Amino acid sequence: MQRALNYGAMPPLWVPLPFLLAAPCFALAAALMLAWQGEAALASRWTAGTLAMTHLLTLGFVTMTIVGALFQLLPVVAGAAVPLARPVAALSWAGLVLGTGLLAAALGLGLGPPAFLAASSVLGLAGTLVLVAFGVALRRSLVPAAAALVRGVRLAGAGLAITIGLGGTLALYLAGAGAPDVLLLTDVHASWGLVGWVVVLTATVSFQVIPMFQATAVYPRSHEARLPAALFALLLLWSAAALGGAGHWRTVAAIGVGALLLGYACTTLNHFRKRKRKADVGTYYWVLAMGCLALAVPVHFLPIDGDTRALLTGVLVIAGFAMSAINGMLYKIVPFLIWYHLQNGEGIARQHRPGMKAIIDGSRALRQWRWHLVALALLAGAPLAPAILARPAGLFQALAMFLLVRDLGGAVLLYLRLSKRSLTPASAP
Amino acid sequence: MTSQATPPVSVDVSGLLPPEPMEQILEALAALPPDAPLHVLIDREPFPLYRILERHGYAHRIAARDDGRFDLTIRKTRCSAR
Repeated sequence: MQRALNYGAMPPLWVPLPFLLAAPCFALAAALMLAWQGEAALASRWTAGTLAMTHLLTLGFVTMTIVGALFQLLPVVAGAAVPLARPVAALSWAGLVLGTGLLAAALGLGLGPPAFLAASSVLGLAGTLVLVAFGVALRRSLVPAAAALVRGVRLAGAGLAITIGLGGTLALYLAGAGAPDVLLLTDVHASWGLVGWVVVLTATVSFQVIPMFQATAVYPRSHEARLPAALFALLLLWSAAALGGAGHWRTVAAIGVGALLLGYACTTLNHFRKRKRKADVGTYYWVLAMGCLALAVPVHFLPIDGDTRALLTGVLVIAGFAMSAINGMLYKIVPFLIWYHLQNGEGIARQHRPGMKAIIDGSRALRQWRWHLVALALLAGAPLAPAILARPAGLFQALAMFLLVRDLGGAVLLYLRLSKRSLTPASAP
Repeated sequence: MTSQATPPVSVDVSGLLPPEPMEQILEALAALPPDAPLHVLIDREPFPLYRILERHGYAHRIAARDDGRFDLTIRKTRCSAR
C-alpha cells in the first residue's frame, strides 16, 4: 500500500534547526556593528565595516538559512534526501559559523593575512561539503513535479561554487598572495553571490513555497523552468564581458538580468494582487521582498556616483529582498518544524501537542515585520545620508533581529519543555 | 450473519494552507472508528505526513486525480506496534 519513497530519510529536527537559529544571531551582529560604527560603515562599499557587515548578512544570515532550509526542503518537496545528513549538517554548520565569524573579524577589525587564510580555508571546506552533499542528493529526484526545483537548486549551487572560488581568490589576495584586478573581481564575486546564488535560489524556492503557503496561482511553467537558467546564462555573459573588457556586452547582459528580475518581481506581486485569500504577515514579507527587488533594478542603472549606487543596490537586494523573504519564511518554517516533530514524537500526549499557531503567535511576527520595515526604510536612505541614518538603521535592525531571535528561541524552548515532559512521567518507576 | 465493513470517513482539505491539511487529517484520525478507512482529498502529496502515519501504525495509498489533486486513503494496520 505504501509507495516506494524513503521517508525515513526525513532529517531529524536538529539537522536544519541550528542553521535557522544561528542566522538571526549573525544579522543581529551586523546590525550592532552598524549601530556601533555608524557613518563609517556606510560611507563607501569598501570600508572595513561595510565589508564585514555584508558578509555577516550574506553568509551568516542568508546562506546559513538557505543551507539549513535545503536540508529540510529537498527530502520533503523533491524526495531527495541528503546523505549522512546529521554529520554533514553539523560539520557545515560549524564551518559556516566559524568561517563567517573569522571573515567578518578579519575584514572588520583588519586582522592580518593568517585570519584571511583561515577564514577562506574554513569557508571553502564548508562550501565544498555542502555542494557535494546536495549534489549527491540531487543526482536523482524521486518526484517528477520537482524537476524545476532540482534544476534551479543545481544552478544556484553552481553560482555558489563560482562565488566561493572568486571569494577565495580575493581572500588570498588579502592574505598577500597574487595581484588580481581586485575591483573587477569584487564586482564579479558580488554579482555571482547576490544574483547567481541568492536570487536564483530564493526565486527557485519561491516558485514552490509562495503558491503553497500563500495560496496564490502557480507560476507559469516556462517562468519556473527558464528564469534560473536565463539568469545564470546572462551572468556568464556579463562576467565574460566584464573580465574581457567588452563594455557593450556587459551593459546588454546587465539589462537582461534587470529585465528578468523585474519580470519575476512583478509576476509575484501580480499573483498576490489576484489571490482571493486575505493577506497575512507572510504576505507582507514577500510583498516587501519583491518591492525591494523591483526597486533595485532601476536603482542599479541610476546616473549617480557608482559607490553610492552599489551600496543602494546592495541594501535593496540583501536587506530588502533576501532578508525580508527569509525573515518571513523563518516565521513559517521554524513553527512548522517544531509542530511536526511534536506530532511525530513518541510519548507526548495528543492534548499536550500545541497547534501550529500556538507555537509563535501571529501578532509577534507582525510586530517584528513592522520594526524590520522601519529598519529597512532607514537603511535604504543611509547610503544617501550616512551621518544621519546609519546609526538609527543599525539600532532598529538590531531591535527587529532581537525580536526574531526571541520568537524563534521561544519556540525551541517550548519544544524542549514538551519533549522533556514526555520523558519524565513514563520513565518514573 | 456477517459483520458489515465500517463505512469510510471522508475529509476534504483541498484549498487549505500548510499545515492545516495535516492538522485536520490528524484530528480526523484521532476520531476515526476502528477499522474505518479515512479518505482525504488533498491538493498535494503530503510527504511529511507519511512518517507520522508510519510511526503511528497507519498504512496509506495515494492516487493522483486529473485535476492535479490527490485521493489519499489511510487505514490502521492490524498488527500495529503502537
